[in-house]
Amino acid sequence: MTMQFELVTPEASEAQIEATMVVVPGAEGDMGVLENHAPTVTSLRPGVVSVTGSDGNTGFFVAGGFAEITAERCIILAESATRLSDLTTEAAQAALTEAKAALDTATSDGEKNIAERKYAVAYAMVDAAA
Amino acid sequence: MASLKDLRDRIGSVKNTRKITSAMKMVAAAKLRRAQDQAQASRPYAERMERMLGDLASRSSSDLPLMAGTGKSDTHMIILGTADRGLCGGFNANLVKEARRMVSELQSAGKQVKIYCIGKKGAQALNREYGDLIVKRVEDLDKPALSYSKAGAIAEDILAMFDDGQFDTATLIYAKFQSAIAQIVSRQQLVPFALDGAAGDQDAADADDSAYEFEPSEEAILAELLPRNVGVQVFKALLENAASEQGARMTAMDNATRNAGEMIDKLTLLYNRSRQASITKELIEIVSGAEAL
Repeated sequence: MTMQFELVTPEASEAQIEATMVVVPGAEGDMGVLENHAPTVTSLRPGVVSVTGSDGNTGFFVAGGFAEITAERCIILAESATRLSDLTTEAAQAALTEAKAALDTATSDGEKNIAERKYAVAYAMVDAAA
Repeated sequence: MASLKDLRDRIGSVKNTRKITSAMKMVAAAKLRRAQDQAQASRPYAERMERMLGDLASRSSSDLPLMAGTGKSDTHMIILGTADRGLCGGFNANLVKEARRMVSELQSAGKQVKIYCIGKKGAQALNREYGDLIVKRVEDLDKPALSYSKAGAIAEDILAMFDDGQFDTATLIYAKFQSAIAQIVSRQQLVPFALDGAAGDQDAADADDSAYEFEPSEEAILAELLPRNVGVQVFKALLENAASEQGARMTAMDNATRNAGEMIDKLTLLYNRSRQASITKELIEIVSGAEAL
C-alpha cells in the first residue's frame, strides 16, 4: 500500500518516492500521513520531513512550506530542502551564528521579522542535524 | 579612394568582428538552453502554488492587505526587470520603453510612482529622467547563477516596503519568453494579488478536488501563502527575463554575424576591383611609355 510522495522546490523537483508513510512537520505539530488520508492542506514549520518507502527511511530538512495531501498523493512545497544525509552540524551551526548576528543587528521591524524567521529556520536545522 | 592597404585592413577587422559575434551567438545559445531548463524545473512548484492559491482565494473573502489591497491606490511601485548587459537587440530598450509609458500613464493620472530596478541596464536608462523615483537598484543577479534565494530576497525587500506603507500596488514589468525571435514585454500585478483567468478556469475543473481540510486554518494558510507567492512570481519573471535576454542576444548576434559576412563580401569585391584597376593602369603606363619611344 503506497502513495506518491513528491518534494518540490522552486528550483527543482527534489524527490519522487513511492512511500508507505510520510511524517510532515505541520504548523500545529507533526503529522503522520498514510495512504487514503483525508484531503488536507497544511503549512509547515521548519523541520524534518521523513519518508518511509520500500528502500527505507529518507529524511529531508525543509525550511517551512506547505503540504498538499490527498488520498493517493503527498506533495510538499518547500522553499528550500536538504537531504538529511547532506546536512552537517557545522553548516547548521554556522547558519545559526549568522542568523543570530543578523537578529542582533536588525533595526527596523521588517528586518527583525526576516531575521527572526531565519533564526527559527537555523535553530531547527541544528536540531535536525544533531 | 581608399588605398589597397586600407581595404585589406578593413576586411581584416570586419572578419575579427564576425568571429566575436558568432562566438557570442554560440554562448547565448548555450545560456538560453540553461535558462530554459531552469524555467522548466521551476514550473511544477509555481503551478501547484498557483492552484492552491486560486483555490483558497476563490472561496475565502479575506481582508489581508496583500489580497484586498490597502484600500487606496495613491502610490504605485513599478518593478522593472532588465538585463545587466547590452548587445541583446531591443530587449532592454523595449522593457524600459514599457516602464516609461507606465510611469507617464500613472503620473498623468495623478499617482505617485516608485521604481524598483532589477538589472543594471534599466537603472542606467531611467536614471536621467526618473532618477529620483528609483528606490532601489539590484544588479548582478545571474552571477554566478540565478537562484530562488535571490528572488526571495527581492520579494522580502518588496514586502517589507509594503508593510511599511511605502506603496499601495506593485506591478512587475518583464519580458515573457516566447521564442528566440519573439519576447513579449508584459506587466503583471504583484500586489495586491490578482487571480488571473487561467487559475480560475482550473478551479472549475477540480471543483470536486477542493474538499480540503486546512490546518491551521484557511486564513492562516492564505496569510502564509501570499507573501511566498510574491517570491515565486518574482522568480518566475526573472527566469523568463533571463531566457528572453539570451534569446534576444542570440538573434541580435546572428544578425550581426550575417551583416559582417555581407560587408566582407562587398569589401572583398571592392578590393579586387581596385587591385585590378591599379594593374590595368600600370600596364597602360608601360605600353604608352613604350609607344612614345
